[in-house]
Amino acid sequence: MEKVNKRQINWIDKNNKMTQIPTLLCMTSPSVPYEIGLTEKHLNELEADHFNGQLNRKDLLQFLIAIQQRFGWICKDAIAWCSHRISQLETGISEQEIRGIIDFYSFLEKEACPPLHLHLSTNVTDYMLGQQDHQAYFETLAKEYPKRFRVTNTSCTGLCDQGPAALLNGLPIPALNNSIREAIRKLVEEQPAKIDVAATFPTPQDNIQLKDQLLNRQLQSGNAIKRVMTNPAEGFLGELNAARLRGRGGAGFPTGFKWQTCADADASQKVVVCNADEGEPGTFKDRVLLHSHIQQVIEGMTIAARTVGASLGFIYLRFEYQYLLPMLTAAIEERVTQNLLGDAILGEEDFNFHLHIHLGAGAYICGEESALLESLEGKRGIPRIRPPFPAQAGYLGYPTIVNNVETFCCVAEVALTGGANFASRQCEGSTGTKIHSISGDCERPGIYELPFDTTVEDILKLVGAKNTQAVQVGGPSGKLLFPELFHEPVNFSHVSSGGSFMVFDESRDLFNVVKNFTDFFHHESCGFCTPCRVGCGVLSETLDKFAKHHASDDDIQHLREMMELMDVASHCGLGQTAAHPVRFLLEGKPDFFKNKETTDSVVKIDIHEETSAARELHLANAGESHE
Amino acid sequence: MSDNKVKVATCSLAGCFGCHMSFLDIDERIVDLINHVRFDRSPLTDIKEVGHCAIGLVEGGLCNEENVEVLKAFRENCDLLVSVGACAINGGVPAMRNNIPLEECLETAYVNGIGVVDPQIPQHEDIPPLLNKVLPIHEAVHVDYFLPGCPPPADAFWELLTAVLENREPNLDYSLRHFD
Ligand SMILES: Cc1cc2nc3c(=O)[nH]c(=O)nc-3n(C[C@H](O)[C@H](O)[C@H](O)COP(=O)(O)O)c2cc1C
Ligand code: SF4
Ligand code: SF4
Repeated sequence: MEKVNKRQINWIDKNNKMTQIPTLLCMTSPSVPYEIGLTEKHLNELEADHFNGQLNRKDLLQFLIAIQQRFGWICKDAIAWCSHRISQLETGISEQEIRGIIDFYSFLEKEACPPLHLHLSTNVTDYMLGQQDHQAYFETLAKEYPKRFRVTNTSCTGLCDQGPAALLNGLPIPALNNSIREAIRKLVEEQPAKIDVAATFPTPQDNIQLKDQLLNRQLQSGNAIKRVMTNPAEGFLGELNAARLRGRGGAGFPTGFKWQTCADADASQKVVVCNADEGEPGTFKDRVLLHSHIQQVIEGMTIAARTVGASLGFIYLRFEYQYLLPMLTAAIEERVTQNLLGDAILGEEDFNFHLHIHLGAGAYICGEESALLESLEGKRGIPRIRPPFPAQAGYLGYPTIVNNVETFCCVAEVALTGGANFASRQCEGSTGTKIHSISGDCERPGIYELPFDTTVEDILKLVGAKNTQAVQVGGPSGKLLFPELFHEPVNFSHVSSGGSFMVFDESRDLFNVVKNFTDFFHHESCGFCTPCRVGCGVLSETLDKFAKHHASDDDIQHLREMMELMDVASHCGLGQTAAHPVRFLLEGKPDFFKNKETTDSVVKIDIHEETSAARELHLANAGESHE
Repeated sequence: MSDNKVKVATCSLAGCFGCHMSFLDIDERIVDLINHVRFDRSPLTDIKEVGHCAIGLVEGGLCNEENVEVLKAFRENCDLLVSVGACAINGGVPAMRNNIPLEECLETAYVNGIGVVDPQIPQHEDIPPLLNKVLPIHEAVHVDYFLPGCPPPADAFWELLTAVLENREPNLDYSLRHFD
């Protein structure tokens, strides 16, 4: 264990073994509407039922989520109780620290919440489908019934092809329309004791438009593992390298290299994590894979476990996808009974793999792998300093591989059909196929699995996009492409993508698109480092100035300086890419900024607006002097 | 009164006059300076309206409507506008109110404060309305130079003015912009 990063060994118990983890930390299903009156008895029960009767520091986030989902908020007493329980162990935690965790995650609330809480998705695709209208409607409803109903916003919910979308007490409602909002109003008015969201409202659809090898595969559970088990554990690394598989989560890191590092590490325990945080706006393919191809995902993870010698695994599921929890839990349990998970898998001694599901609580940054590990350990999701890389020292200091959902599906494919076969479909070194989530201005949004020689133009034709002005490939942290570049293929050498593809036709003001993405980063910055925390705010506010026609050349200069600074000085990928939307538009179509510059050559602020607070207090004449 | 002297205007917006005091710390060099410049609107002259000037030195940020009007006049009349001191550049001490709602701020100062007699929020047509937030001056107008410091050292003022008079780019030594 000497190799373990000191900072992270706190929670490893003295026998150098993993402390026992309850089978599923988050089994408490969300309650709609929230129950009232959390008492100590509830907390004791929760702890006894799901946390082995002793709440550990690393279970804290899961525990808080469980409280949140049943009671709608986490009261002061619950915080004190958690602090007290955990502090009985040698690693205590203060109430302040717990409040810090609650503040970090956007779905955790410290203030009392009415029994129904609607989160409206704020991705640009939701707005393009008329979100504003619903927002206004629900805000009025919330004003009418402040004690029964609350409406707030949340970042992309992964339902971009069926928006505008919302979450009701954490459960998804796609394709909002008038009848849905009437139905919600009815619930608010009638206050039923129980609401079956899935039965009352439409449920998320897979909406698969084009299948290839991954989506055509109907895996007989165990088949991929059995093929791998004919060779010694490390043997699969050769297959992976032959497949030249690269990660599908966005960065395109060679999977074989990552696994090799982890396999080579010397440690008593190793961990495999499936990154199902899918936070990049416009991406929803992982949701579909989890829903309809979970066998491939788990099989890929199990193969990973055998290859690197891991016996512990997690699926880190974003909060927005918790409606999949019962289904995923059942899949895991079934595989345990089939001896495809658990101890001595398929009779092979030492092939043990215990898989658990952890929920996120609304933080895009937790998709970044080291922040994800922090979150798995029950902390705020602040990206770690690397090295050590997760494959060297990850979850609780154990060597950990983190891969995207789709990557694990590819792994299963490689196991079934061989690395060479997988690599035979390639374009400029990108092998296999890629699943794209397509949304925005097109006739057939949805899921498309495509080979790597597919160009942007091909995709646009396929989805029935007309008069396309620009495409955002790879989400806000990816690229904004204009027609000049539509001939480029979407692969790791040209336009790299984690799977988000948003189409904007000529009717759209791209400035608003970029503003939406910038606000997203501003909201999701974890706040750890100044260039990103402040920089995102400055970008956002400067864009506001343009939107109000108060900006000038100087502001363009400020934007440029800030973009430069954020690129070079931010701690993690979020800050390093947060300025990209502004940059792409400023470089590609500067007119979107130019035509919003102020017409007043001297003063760039609107004095009427800047004195609004004084006017509200009747300290200024209602704008007489400056109209 | 036409002469060849370079015209300089100065003002203090939401500032404490500390920057002006520091400027005066050029001490006897002010006699040399007066041979080359003429002060237009400035607390030193008590001229109320700014005329056309080569240089405008602005101390303090924007906290009320009158500040914005003065700044506008400076920008319109000065060839080079200089943002002087932490308050003009960042908002400084006055901007500490920016995280507190205006109403709360005023109530604390004029209604609930310790030792307040006849508590009420002052209100009169002669009192310029406060801005929602204290702003640095470059938020509102284009600024040509920034003199950092709280206050900037006298030598920094000296360097700035002599450089402009000699028609070269000002260049502050490290010691003039390092404040630890
Ligand atoms: C800000 C940020 C957010 C990320 N979000 C995700 C995500 O939601 N899902 C994902 O798979 N990878 C995400 N990543 C990439 C992960 O850090 C990591 O590279 C990936 O999970 C590795 O898996 P792969 O090699 O299979 O792609 C994100 C990275 C950054 C910097
Ligand atoms: S770059 Fe942003 S998200 Fe990343 S660590 Fe810094 S503040 Fe957090
Ligand atoms: S910068 Fe310092 S000296 Fe100048 S006005 Fe502000 S507080 Fe006073």
